Amino acid sequence: MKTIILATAIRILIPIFIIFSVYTLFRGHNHPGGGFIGGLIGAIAFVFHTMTHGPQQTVDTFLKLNFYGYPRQPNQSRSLYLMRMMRVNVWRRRKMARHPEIKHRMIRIESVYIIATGLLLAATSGVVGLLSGQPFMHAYWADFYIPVLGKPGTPILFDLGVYLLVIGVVLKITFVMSEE
Amino acid sequence: MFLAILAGFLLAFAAPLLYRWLGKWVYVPMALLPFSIFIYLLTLAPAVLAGNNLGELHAWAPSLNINLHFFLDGLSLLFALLITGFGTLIMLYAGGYLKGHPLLGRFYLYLALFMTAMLGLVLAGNIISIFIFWELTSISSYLLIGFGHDKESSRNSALQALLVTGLGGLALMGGLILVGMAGETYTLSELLDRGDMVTNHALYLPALVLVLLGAFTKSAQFPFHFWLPNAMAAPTPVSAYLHSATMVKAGVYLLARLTPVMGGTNEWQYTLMVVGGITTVLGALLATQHTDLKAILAYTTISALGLLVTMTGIGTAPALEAMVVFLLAHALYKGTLFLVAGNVDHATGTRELTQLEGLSGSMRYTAIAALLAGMSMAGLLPFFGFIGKELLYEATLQESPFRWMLFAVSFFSGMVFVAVAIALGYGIFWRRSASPTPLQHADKALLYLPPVLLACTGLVFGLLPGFFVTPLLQRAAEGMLGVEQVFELALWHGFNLVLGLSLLTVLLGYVVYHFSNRLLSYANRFNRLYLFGPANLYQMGLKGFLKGATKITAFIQNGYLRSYIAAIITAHIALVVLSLWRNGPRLELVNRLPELGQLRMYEVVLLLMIVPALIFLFKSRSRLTSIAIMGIIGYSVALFYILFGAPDVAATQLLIETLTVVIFVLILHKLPAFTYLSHASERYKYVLLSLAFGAMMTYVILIVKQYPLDSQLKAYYGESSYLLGQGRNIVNVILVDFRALDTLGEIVVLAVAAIGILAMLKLRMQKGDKS
Amino acid sequence: MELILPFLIGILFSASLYLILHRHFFKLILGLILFGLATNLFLFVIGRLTRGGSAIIGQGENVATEPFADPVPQALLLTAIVIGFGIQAFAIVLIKRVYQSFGTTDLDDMSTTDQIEENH
Repeated sequence: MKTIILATAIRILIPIFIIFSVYTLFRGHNHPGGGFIGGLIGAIAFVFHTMTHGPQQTVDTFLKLNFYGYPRQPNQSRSLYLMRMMRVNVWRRRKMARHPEIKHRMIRIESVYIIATGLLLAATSGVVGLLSGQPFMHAYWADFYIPVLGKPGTPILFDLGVYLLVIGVVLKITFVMSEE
Repeated sequence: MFLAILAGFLLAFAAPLLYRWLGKWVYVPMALLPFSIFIYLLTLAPAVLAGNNLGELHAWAPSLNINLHFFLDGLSLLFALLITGFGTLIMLYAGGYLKGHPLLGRFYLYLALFMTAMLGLVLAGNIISIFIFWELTSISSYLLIGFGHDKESSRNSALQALLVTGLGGLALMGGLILVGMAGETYTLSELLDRGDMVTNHALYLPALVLVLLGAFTKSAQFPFHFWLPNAMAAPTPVSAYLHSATMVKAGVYLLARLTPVMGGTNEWQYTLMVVGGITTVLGALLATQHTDLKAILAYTTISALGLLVTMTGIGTAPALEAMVVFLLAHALYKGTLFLVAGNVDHATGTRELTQLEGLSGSMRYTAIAALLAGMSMAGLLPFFGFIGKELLYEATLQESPFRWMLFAVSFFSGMVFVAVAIALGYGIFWRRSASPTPLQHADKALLYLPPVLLACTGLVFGLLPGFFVTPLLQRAAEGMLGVEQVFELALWHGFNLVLGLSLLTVLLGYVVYHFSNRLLSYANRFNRLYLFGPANLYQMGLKGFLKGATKITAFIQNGYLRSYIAAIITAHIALVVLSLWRNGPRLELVNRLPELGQLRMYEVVLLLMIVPALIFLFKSRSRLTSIAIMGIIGYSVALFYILFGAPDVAATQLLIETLTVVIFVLILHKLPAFTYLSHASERYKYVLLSLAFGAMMTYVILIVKQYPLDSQLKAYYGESSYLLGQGRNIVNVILVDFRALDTLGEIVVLAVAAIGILAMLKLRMQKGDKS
Repeated sequence: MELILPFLIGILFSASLYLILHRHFFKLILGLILFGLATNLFLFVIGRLTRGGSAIIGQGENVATEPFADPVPQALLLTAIVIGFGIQAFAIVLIKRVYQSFGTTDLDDMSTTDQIEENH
């Protein structure tokens, strides 16, 4: 299913999809949208990418984190080392990848991790109520507005959990279907 | 009390671990637990003996009025002390008896589990918790009987015990619920005051039948007695503890406990007396027909249980007094004799009465214990068993129309008890013998100490009946009678009729012992009778049941998905049609025809998309086409949602439909190609069924929609969504706030589906099928 | 429309059930999907239809004003659709796996797994 137009377009479209899905997620409390719909929109972006480029490519592009680093020298101060590592990982990634002394470590984000994170978030949002003596899932709201995202509160956290879980589940299904 | 139960369960499940750490010393902590509970109960005893009932309440399911309620009065205290005191000795004994057994840890687990369950049963202050602990004892008993699970007979016996007591437990549950309904409470302390209310209730008779079924199966009453001798397949500590002293007495405990609630009526009295009487005689008779030590003991136990039930049935003050005294006495001597039998079996390797002789020389302490217990069982003078027997005779001789019947029953069993006591306490140990049975190993302290201790207790109680025992038993009898009761236990009542009868019993018992060989030779003549016995009926019933189940399963579960679904749908249609036909409203379509005029253009267009799409779906022979058609149908449905004010649902439907199509495309080449498989002849059946189902659903919707929906939920969510939930999208607020817990459950389902898919993938990798 | 939708749902149910009763795996999946669709629509219609006016409170108001659609069936449907998708995917993977393992497309070929032998 490798059509050149779709393959090229999807690369550009993915950020838009993601931004739109997050937007849908957060506006969902007052307008049509929400975690389920947002999650599906976000997932569809990746599904299309998988469809055109294959699952391996999708994983390599979006679901792998590369960390670069070198072992700490014995007499080097800890904070300095941490700052160096940050600089290496944030600003100088391209260069570091080819540097001889630098080793890199890859973390593959399994879609199961995303599912688990989503479930954890959703469940934790309910615990907040429990901790303050209210029933499980009691809602708490902040008193201020954040421009695009709206009013923060535990239900929003819950919706975020739903969002992540839906993305994870759809990704998992897609990868299973297209792999092998 | 709650803590005691909790500690019991915790220790039970820690037992295998403890065994791994401590090895053979595992019996030390295991015996310490019942011992400390025993001490704890003793500290509570003064309060109980002063006439107070102790209670303890923990909320469990408050909305159903079910609490974890503990209740301690004289009756429960008697049983609890018996369970923990005897439990301590058994734990020690098991350490010696099963020393070196690889599964000792597991054995202790079961045993401690049982002990805790039994303790919970007698301490429970709520009839629902009584039932739960009751079932726990059945289950742990099953595990214990089947401990030697490598033998088939052992497994069968365990299953038999479980089935019989389990069926009884089922009946008991129904009975207890009925009792609770009749008394309008499940709390024991309240129920005890509502005896009249229960006995006069319309549900009394069914409740009585069910409760008695439960009690009779547990306490091995005729005709359910057959499981008990088979349960002797268990290791001896289990037989001694469960099947003579505690578990089988759970039924008696239940009857005693419910005497103030359900007792006193004619039905109660006659049933208990008749069943108890038959059991007593039958147990005694069968005891003379066996030569296996444990079998003999099992049958005399059945006989004793029958006596206890009979006494409960008589229900007069002397009878109940006799019952509690005999209960304690029996537990003491029968437990001892079981342990003795276990020792003999362990040391010589046989339990056959005819092969054992002259063991007093080689097993001195065991022999002493056996002698003491035997004398108590025979009802000889300084022993507690003597008091028990005296009271039994006295109680049966009370003024009543059946006094001679009842007396004859107890006299007969007393005679057999004497014979058995002589055979076990004297015959195999002390009778002079030229060739004593050789031992495989010497007597061990851990094995002979518990029986000796128990037997001595029987002697001490007999010599000092006024000390501690009398007040305890008095309170126990009070718990059944419901009124203050004073009785004096004394060893010596003077020369009277009862003493004379006691002497006569002993004499006749000796005669029975003397001619026991001849009695045994008659045993074979009864063989034909056994064919009609309950044990055989049970076997036949079980076989028939299994056969029937196999047939039905083979018929229902034929392996064809179609027939399952067809059966489900047919049943569904039948039920709906039946209920609509009986009292369903009539459909009035004609009045509603004008509504057709309100149709909008785009609605018609959508309709015209779906129906032809379905037709194409059936015509299509290409997988890709059918997927595309599915997409069309899905999108059309999504448009419906938009038209009727559900943008969120519509968006979800659109996205899901897209995803479905994409996923199908991804996987298409791995799925089987279209082929026609069904036979034309069979197809019409399914077409008809499908049409009927569709028609039924249509009809249901039409009927439902004739009536206006008065949705308070809609109004509530409409009003409070913004004010309480701070959101304007009501659907979303319901999802993430009002009903967030439901949504949490739903996303868990999603996660599980994903994990299931993952699992299937992993499975494939391991097996390495052809790909 | 109120009068026609019930018939449409009936047609959908009939078609999906007929597909489910087929022996072929692929049709079974199609039938399952269609059945889910019909059930969702059934729930939606049973919860009464409201033309115009979605379940959203207008800006500047505190309480939803009639006519607005009943939000309860909508909330039910929303999760039902997503879960339905999860189950569909599960079914598809299951059937694919069965196809790979047994090499058959016929449900009737797998009837032996459920049968018990009567002689035992």
